Amino acid sequence: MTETMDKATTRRGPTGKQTTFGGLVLAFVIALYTYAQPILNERMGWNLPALPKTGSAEVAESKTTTKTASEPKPRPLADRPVASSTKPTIKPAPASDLKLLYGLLKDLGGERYLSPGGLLFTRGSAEGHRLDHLERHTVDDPQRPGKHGVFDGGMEGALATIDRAYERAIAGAKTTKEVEEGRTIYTVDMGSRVGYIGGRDGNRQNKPMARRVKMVLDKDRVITAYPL
Amino acid sequence: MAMAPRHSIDYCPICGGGLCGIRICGMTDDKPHGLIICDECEAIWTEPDSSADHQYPDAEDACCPTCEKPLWGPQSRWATWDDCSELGWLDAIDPQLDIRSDEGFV
Repeated sequence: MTETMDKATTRRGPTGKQTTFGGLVLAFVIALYTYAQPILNERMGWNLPALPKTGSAEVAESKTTTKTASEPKPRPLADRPVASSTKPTIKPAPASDLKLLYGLLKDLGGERYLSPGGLLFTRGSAEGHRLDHLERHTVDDPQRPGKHGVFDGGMEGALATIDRAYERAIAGAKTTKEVEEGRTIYTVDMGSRVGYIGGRDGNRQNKPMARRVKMVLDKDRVITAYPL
Repeated sequence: MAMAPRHSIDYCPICGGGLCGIRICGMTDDKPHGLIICDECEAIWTEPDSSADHQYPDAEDACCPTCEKPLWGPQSRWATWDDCSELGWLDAIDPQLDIRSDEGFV
């Protein structure tokens, strides 16, 4: 009996050792991936899939969820904005700021709206309100003669980009400034994509990316702003 | 609805991104007069020459510099071909900057 077991051990020995070693390596890789996956997704903007959870992991997560039920739940990975230079960073409005227009603009009354950066959007323009004019620059107008700058990210993205551009303009960072008769015209290099060039010319050139913002201000009131 | 000028004389020399569109004003009181307005920065010329002196309207209460009625009021519009003809400004039109006739207007 002992001899049989010894023979069996001897026969299975090498194979058994390999299996054990391979299993260790696999376990190490899984552990490393499990640890690194959320960090890489967060820091690199990747979208690495999470490993399937085991029953015990689900239980553990369930306990954690219960413990932190009052905290905001993290969004599923697919819903998270992918870190990319093509989209402006939009800070979600805190729960107390839900009344902000587009999550950013404070209503001052009289159709006047104030951005976090201190820019005013008021009545004016052929559209009736500066925000309605700005909205034209959130979609392409392929038939418009010449160029038509289009912001990434809809109105929220446009407003966030304009505030960032204003911040850079005030700081004088990669900005040209012209002042005449009360109007200030800033051209701000944002350093990365903020939109694209549409219109007839832009569509002829396959909608090249735009990384600069042109802003025309009357003091702190926005007359127009668009990517170029 | 397209808000771009039907006919323009140039790109805006001030902001670079706008069209210097021809606008007719004073239609309701039989005193039509023409304006050139940048549809982005709202620089205004009272003659069809963007190298001439320009001015800006009030940011929130824009008025026509000629008749002082609301710049975007019902007595004014982006000029049609006939309007441009009536103003005697047909020669100033840059046809490359025309909105095509099937594109819809203000």
